[in-house]
Amino acid sequence: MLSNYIITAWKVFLRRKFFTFINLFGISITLMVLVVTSTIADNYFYPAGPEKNVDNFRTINRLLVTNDEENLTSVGRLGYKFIKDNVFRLQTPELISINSGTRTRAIFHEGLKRELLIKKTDSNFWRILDFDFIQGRAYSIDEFEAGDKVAVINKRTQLALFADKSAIDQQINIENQVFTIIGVVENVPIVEATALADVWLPYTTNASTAYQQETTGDWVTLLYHSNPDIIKDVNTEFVNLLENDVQLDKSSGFSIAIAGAYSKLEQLSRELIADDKSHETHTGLVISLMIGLTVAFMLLPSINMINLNVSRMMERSSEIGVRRAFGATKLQLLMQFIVESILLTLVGGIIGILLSVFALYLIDVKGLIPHAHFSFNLRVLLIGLVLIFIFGLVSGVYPAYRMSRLHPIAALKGNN
Amino acid sequence: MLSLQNISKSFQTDRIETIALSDINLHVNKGEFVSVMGPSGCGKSTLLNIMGLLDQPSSGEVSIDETPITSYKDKQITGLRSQKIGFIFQSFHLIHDLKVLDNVELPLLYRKMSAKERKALAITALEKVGLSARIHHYPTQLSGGQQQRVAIARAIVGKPEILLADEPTGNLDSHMGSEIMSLLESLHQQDNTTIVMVTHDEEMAKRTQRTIRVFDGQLI
Amino acid sequence: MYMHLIKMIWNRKRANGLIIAEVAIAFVVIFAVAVLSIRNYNLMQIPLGFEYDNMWRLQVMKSGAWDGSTDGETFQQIVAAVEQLPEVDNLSLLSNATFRNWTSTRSFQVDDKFVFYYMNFFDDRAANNFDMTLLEGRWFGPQDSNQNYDAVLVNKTFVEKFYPNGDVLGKNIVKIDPDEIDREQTEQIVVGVFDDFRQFGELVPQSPYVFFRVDAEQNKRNLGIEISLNPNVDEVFEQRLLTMLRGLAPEYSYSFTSWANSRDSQLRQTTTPLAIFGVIAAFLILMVAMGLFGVLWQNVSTRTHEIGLRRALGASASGIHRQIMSELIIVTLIGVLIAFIGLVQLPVLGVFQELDWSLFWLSFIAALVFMVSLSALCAFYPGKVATGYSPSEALHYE
Repeated sequence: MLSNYIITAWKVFLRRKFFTFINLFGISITLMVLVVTSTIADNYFYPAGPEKNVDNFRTINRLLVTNDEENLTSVGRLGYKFIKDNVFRLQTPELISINSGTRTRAIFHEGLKRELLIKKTDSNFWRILDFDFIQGRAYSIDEFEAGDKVAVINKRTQLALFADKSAIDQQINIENQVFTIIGVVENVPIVEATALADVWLPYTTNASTAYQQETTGDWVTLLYHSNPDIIKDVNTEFVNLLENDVQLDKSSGFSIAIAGAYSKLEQLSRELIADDKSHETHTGLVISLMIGLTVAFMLLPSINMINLNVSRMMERSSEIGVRRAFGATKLQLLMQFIVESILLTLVGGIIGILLSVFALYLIDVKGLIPHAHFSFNLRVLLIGLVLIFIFGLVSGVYPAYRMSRLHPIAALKGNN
Repeated sequence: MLSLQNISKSFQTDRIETIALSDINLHVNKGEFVSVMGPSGCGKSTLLNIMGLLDQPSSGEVSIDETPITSYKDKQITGLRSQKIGFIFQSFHLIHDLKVLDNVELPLLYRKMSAKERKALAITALEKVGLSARIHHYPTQLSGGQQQRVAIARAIVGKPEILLADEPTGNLDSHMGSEIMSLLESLHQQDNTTIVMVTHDEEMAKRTQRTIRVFDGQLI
Repeated sequence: MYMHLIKMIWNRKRANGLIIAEVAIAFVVIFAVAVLSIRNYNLMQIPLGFEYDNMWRLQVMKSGAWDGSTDGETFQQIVAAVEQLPEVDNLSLLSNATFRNWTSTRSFQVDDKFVFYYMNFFDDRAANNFDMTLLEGRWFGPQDSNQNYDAVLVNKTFVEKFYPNGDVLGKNIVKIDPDEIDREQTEQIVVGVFDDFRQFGELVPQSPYVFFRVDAEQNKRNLGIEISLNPNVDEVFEQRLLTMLRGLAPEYSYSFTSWANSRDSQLRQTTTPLAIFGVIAAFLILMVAMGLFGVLWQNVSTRTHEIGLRRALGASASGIHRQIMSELIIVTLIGVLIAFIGLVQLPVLGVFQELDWSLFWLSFIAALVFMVSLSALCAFYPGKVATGYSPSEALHYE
């Protein structure tokens, strides 16, 4: 029976090329937008690059300090002193990394100016995050502590500076210091902001040590544990520590500190919604907001398809009457029309997925978004298929239901 | 074969109840070719719809092969229609999106049958109506008479025991109408099919075995 | 005639209901596009109030706290050294950079309203260096040094907002804040009114803006060194400059960015989401257009009987064409009306400050014209097809 439905549907599509084209266009474009956005979201929440062990670490990247009267407030990344005095007292993490925010610096290589994203880190950074080394290695704890002038660069930088020559042991001049390159890693996708940079340097090579006295500054902290179930409780411990036993520089005048050790979802919702003065992350609100936006976006294409399908099926009322007269049950008719719309959605869906792969290629390879490096994966494909299926059902069920309920005599008379 | 006992049918519109059929008793024997005549609006189409189980009477009992079917559920009625009854309509009602062959196969889709069998039966039916050369055409590529012959092939493909035709020649000129009539006559004679045909045309009615006249919802 | 059409639409309300819903949602999308385009177009038309060609910002950075006495000293030396370079046409100091979202604001309550103005600091040469326009009074000068007041410059928007009668020269702007009226504080006296200084670029609305004076000779703070470069300076200059600075004061790091670059990246940041929204909206609208077209076409082909009857009863071909088009346009207008009832809440409730009545009506009318033309376009061809049916053909159709 199913194969009959499919054959009939196929014949109808071929006979009604314009209708089929409008439907396919709507479905494939809608799906393309959804698949591209889900790919970006998927790459954010389930990183494929160095942050791939995302469940094993939490990030502290924002701190608010204030005094008892709350009339003197400072907000920003963390200060080094604050991290040493507070974060390093946490019991939960196995490893703690301190690294700087990224800064764009101009470097001059063979007479040409290059703008590079620079990040300064410790050696734990390389143990917590899972970088893919193409060549060489990361700097060790000894090199870090000795303040050796060594650098790790990404593939993009290696290609820009040294073309096809090996970058290992080459020298690079950054802010008047000469670094020796000891490793080359794969490019980091833009959505992995904690790992992202073009060049990574040990922060012990900083010219001055004044940063060691800061409460707020330009530092980010990573907290790591090999067991994801353990690290997820680190925020509770951290918030507790800040509330009950925070250590702040007396001379700064600050007495209250608010910060959190967040997962990627929590970081995103903090950036979108939450204010710095509370620990609340509002992840539920952000998730419902994302779902709401998706539904709102799908609303117009769905109504459009329902509309088309209804008027399309009205035109076929004589067909419905005949089928009913010759022994089709309501259920069989319902099935026939649902199979028709699902089949149509499926074809549109496949086109949509091909379009998304092409769009991602434009974004990524053609550099529509710099540093994008999005990868299309099975999970997104699955999300895409589920979306197609929902779309086909939504746009097919209502018209099919209306049609299958038509009384055969009325359908034959064509008055609906 | 088919009998109606005390059949009445009324339609409820906004305020008025219109009586289409009242207290009809009718028996059609196996192998009979019956015509139904009457002025427009007399209820003959309603009568045919009730015979074809497309419509339920307001009261009374319809029996097929001595079995009353009044208490049947929609699914059972649909099954009966599929097995025992073939329809021919005044305006053909072919599906424009399907080729002639697919149109004829349609009734068989709702029975358990392989594609091969379906095709063979459809081709046989089309041969009977003399259209085996047109199986890959679309209905719109055919003349009115040819379309009606396709519709007849569709009606007989499932080997129904009774064929119900609602003014099958109403949309055709007299020459084509006569051809269709001859086709129905030969079906009746060769396969001993029971046929009930609604018509306006005395000439056509004369060619059947018995004529039932309906006036104002009653048999006369 | 129109009553007749409306009656027909009502009788087919189930099918039309869906079209109306579709039109209403599509209209909201078109309206949003109209609002954003009109608003941004208007903003682009307003002059920035300064020139950014050949302007560069040199920023000195120190890790750790800035020490006014020692670091301030070095800063003076850096400024002096840069000024000596032949490539430098002009040089001045500015606190918050242009085309960046660095802000200093002063906000307070006047009656029940929350008001604010942006503040920035520059030296005596800056207004000239940036090619700003003076409307009234004078720029900063040496006569403002060692006074018992702070000299300030305000922009036109500031005057319109806080001194609607225009009489602002010599006024003490501290007193705008009701909380400050009885307090002793250094007076901030307006010495001049400038046209504008749209620090955040073209796409940000005009706001009240106040400049405070920096005395370049006495300055100890870390400010941006804004350099007007000779137009034919090559790229290597940047490297030479940075090498020179690192030789002069190696304990600092430096960034050297052109205003045009900052403007580009800021514009890109603002326009990228707009462009993405625009592309998606265009696809949605194209989808709706094709959908309306398809629905109407099928409508027409199922209604051949009615159309044939009308033709038989004496309707002309153009009359039928008009009827088909009018029907869709009436349906469209009903959809727009429903969307309007929702959208009008935005300015009524003041959801978006930017969306005032004039922008609302302008966008509404633009969106209305677009939507109606779109549905007329969608109805044109099916209407044409309908007029192609001859009465007899149409009546015989099934």
